[in-house]
Amino acid sequence: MRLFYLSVFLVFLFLGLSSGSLGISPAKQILDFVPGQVHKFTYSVSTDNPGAFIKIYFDGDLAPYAVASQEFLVGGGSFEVTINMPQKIDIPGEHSLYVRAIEDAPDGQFLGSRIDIGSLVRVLVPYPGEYAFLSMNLPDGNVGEKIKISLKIENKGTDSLEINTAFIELFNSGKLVETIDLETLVIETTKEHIYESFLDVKNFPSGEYLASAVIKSPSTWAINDTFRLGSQFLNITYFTTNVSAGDIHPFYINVQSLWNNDIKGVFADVNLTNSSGGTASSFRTPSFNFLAWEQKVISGFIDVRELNGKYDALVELNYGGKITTASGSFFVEDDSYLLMAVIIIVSLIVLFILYKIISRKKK
Amino acid sequence: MADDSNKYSPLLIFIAVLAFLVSLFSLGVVYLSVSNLFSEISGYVTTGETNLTVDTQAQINFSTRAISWGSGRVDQEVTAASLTTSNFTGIPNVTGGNWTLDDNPGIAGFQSTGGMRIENIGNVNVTINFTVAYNASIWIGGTNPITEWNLSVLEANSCLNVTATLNSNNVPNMLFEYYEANTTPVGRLGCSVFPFESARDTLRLDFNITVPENSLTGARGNVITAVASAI
Repeated sequence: MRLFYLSVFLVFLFLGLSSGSLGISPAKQILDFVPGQVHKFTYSVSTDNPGAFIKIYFDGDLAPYAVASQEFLVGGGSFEVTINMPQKIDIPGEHSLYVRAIEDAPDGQFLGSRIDIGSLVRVLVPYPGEYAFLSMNLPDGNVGEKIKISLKIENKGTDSLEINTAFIELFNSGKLVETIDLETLVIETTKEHIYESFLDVKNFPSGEYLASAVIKSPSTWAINDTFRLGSQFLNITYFTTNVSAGDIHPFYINVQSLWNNDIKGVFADVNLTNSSGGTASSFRTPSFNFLAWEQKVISGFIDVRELNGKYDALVELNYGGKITTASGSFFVEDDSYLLMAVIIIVSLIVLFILYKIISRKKK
Repeated sequence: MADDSNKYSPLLIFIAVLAFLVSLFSLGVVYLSVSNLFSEISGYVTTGETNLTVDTQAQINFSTRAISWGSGRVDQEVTAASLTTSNFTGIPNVTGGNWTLDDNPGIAGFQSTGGMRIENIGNVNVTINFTVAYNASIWIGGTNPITEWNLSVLEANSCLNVTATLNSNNVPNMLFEYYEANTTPVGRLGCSVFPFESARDTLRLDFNITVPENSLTGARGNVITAVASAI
């Protein structure tokens, strides 16, 4: 019986050695630096070893300003971290503090391991003076809709941003088409403001637009972005224009959607007419679906077994009760002559080489 | 034949009647409860609100966290023995000595494909690097002892941005070859983005150790520290 208990003890001892984990939560936090501000956070450390001896410590350039309520934990647990921000941090930008938990080094193993896990506290220190960080959200839309435009301004400087001028200009093909004036306001350091505006694009032509946002405080800050205004239109950018005679061939049509919504049930009718205007061959493609702004190649099969020469091709793309057409010449080429020509040329070359070899031997 | 009609005692009849009345009463209670329940439960929802917070957690797991070759010694006819965890490559785990690789001391005699296994079991990406407590000269001793290690991915894409360097010492993310393990920053290795998604969250750390014939004797121990930080 004593041997049994000893065996069980050894099994548990070695189970502890074979695997192990260490975790810390929360894993990361982001703070704006405010001189002298005090932050308190509760962290929890988890381990699968109830006897694990875990040390808590800090790393990173802000480590001197952090204090933990407990320096050691046994088998995991919670503790509180207090961060006493200094009155000043000289270097603006991102600074970090790592709240770390490390296991005790294992004993008696040839090659043992331990885990040191860290939770990140990222502190954003304002830039001296005025510093605005702009970001714009401009979704694609369709003509006739209203598009929600948002401009986010984050004050990353030590001074307040006193915005006296703010506007967004919209350009289409280099031409100013709309100016949206935004309200003037003051954004305190580390704060942000989001301008939101609904743009009525009822009378705008479809196409690609450039939006340029400008704020003055009195420094000038600007950001550019683009968006597309779609119309329910599928553009045919290419279709097959020549095939070899005497077979059934795939016929490819490159299609680009200029619509900001999905279009379902798109198919094309392809018609080849001869010089007298009679239908030489025709087919209809299967049905395809297009995602917003998607470019895709759709295809069908055209029978040119009885055709040869030049024809007029008409491609009609059908979708949502609309039709896009494209036309052009279509050539059915009998390449058997080309093949014969190649065979003859190769044969002549071979005969010429043989002639040269024989004539050399005679000499 | 005896008349059985007198066998039922009044007490038995009383209990039977009582049981019947109690069951009737409970039936009524069930009926009332169900009708009340149905009046409160329906598929029609007017408003609903849920509130769920998912905490971030950085957590690392060593599924194989200790490696041992047991007891042994360098063969008489050679000057050094080589111990490696990479038996998956066809290289013997031990050459020039009589040790036996046991890379999972939790299971006696267990010998898998070798190496330490490290898994990101949290819900954030982390950066991870590995340090060793002792150089080979202190740990093994003797003439030209060597400790080398190699970090590789056990699951594809378990280290992102593999061509990047891990730190200002230009330590590469992933080495794909054995590299000297020592206590200096240059002797470290790791991965700058170790993802947490379950299909790509496992790394493997292999070792190649040279034990010279005049090495230190007795039980020798070294510790690998996996330093992981949330990013």
